[in-house]
Amino acid sequence: MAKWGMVIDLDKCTGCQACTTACSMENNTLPGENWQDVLYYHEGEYPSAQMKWLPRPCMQCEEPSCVHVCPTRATYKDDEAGGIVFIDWNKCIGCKYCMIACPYGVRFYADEQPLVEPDLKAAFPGEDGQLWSPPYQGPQEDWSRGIGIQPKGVVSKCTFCHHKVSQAPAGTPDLDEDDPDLKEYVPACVRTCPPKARYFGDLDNPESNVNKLIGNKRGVRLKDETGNRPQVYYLGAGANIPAFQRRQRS
Amino acid sequence: MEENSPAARAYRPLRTDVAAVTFVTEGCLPVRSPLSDCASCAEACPVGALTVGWRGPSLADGCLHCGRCAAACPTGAIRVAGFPRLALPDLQAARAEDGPLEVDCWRVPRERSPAGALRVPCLGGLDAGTLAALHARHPAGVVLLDRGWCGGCPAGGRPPLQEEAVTAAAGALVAAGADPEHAPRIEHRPLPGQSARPEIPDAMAERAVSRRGLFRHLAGRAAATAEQWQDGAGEGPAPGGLAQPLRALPRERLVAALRRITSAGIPAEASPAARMNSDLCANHRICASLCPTGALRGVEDGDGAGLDFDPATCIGCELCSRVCPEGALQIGRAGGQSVLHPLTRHSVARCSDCGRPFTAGEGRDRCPNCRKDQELLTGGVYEALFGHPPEAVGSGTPAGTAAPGPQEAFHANMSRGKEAFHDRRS
Repeated sequence: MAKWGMVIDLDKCTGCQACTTACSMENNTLPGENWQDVLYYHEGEYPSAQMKWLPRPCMQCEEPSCVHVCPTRATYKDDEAGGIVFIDWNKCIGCKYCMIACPYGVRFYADEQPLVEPDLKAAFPGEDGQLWSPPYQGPQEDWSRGIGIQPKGVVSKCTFCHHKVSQAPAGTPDLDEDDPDLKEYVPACVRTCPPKARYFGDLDNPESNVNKLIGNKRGVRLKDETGNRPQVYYLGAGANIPAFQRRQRS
Repeated sequence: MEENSPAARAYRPLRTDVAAVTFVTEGCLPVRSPLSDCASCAEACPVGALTVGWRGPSLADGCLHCGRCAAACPTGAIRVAGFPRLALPDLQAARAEDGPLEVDCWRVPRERSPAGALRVPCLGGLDAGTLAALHARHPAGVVLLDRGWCGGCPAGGRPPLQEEAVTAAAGALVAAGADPEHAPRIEHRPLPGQSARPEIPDAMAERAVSRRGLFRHLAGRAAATAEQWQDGAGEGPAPGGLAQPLRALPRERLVAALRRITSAGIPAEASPAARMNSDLCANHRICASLCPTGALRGVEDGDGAGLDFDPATCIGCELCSRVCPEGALQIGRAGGQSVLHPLTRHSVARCSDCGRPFTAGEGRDRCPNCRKDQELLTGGVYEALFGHPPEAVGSGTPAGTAAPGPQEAFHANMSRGKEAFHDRRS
């Protein structure tokens, strides 16, 4: 089985949030409860102010802290599914220990006050055990993997679009959205990325493009000191480009 | 009574060839949470046939069906045939029956037991809750008959383990106001060793009536059988699966028996004490989510948001103190308050970033999630991605908001979970 990994090139990323929108549409998440988003920061002051941004999906860690602390074994790492960390909504009791343990803040509990008004949970009341039931819903549903619209009282997270990538032919080294045969299997955020800043492939395949990118462009993992070993790599943006320095006046 | 109710059906034999020992998955603490290290049943097993893993107990060869595991289980998840399964003592209806109730073990030949005695496979299989419930029906006393064999019995030991349960039940009942003269006790009433049955008979052999027993039966002096004590058979420990609080029947029986005696709440001797360091508590409420019996519960009232603690349902499993990431909570065996009481109250603030209410912020203006977002781009992360550390200016720049230092309890949980994670994968 492949070990799915994502590479995000911060040199190319424009922070347009198309990935966030695509993810929400694909996975029917509530507004504001984005399984993947882009964080923005600014530093410095005029005239040398800079803006930085960081796309942030679930890192699908190889040593997931969330799995280690889960008191009901609801969240688990599925090596048969490419090392994706899933939440079994049938087991999750919504204690949110995983949210405290996750160093990346990519787990969500949507039962509380909505982040975006109006509250769509009230506009589309839940049916058949769903937290909310919008009229538009993706066809995929698998509560044992946290796919579909969640029930009440559970934590949810990015699934690397398992419902798509699991359909890819076995042994595919890279899921490239430009390949007409493969594009349907590409995670929504990767497929939609306008500047093509995201790559998705098999980290266990030495021939895969993601492995080459990580090797050639010195991919880094976020917060490596935690030992979580994410399966998401960033191609260091400014690492080789010195930031603007204001010239000292004599 | 209702052997076909869903709760009763949930009890399944641990092994197909040992029908006497049954188990309900939802009641087992290690099954409910890998962070629980409960192994009470395995530690109680006199022959070491029981082991507990994350799928629950498993039974090797050599089971004596003595019931010590069932007596040790804090939630009543294990049952052994032959022991009384009592309904909870009723507050109003006290069934006053004359004379003390004598309890005898199955190794004693039936004809040598006193008439009307309650016969159980082993005295060590009676827990404090059952003893207290028996006391509620027999205010004149519950007397466990020590025949002088326990030390040499494979299910026994020296001192006999039933002493602990008797001491606990008697201590709680007396503290609640019961007459010490009539509290459950052990009475030495030796029989010659050669009259003992060589081992604990199985239920079939126990039920078979000997010739002498038959005559007694015909004479209208039938010895009491365990069957008449099965009035609480339909009650199970977990009505709604793993996520629902379970009913810990041993604890419920003890508390109900105490409430029959006194209305002043649970005496300190039988009331676990929750000690909370409010300065450390961050009101995650993981403890309340995981408390197997719902003794800890999250509340919001006029004083703020926090926790309530009910000593009546606490079984002292200490899962709460183990899972607390801040190490703020300790549970003591005794010395607690008598009734449900508030444990913590925190003021509620509103996050300046996402607008959601949060508690226990200690003067911070952002919720824990938004603080984590900020921390993501400080120090090592920022340097690795963008090449140089950020300057600490600008409203969005996360300066001086480093995470609170690593907590020992949290990391202990992490490493425990990590080991279990690798165990399961290998």
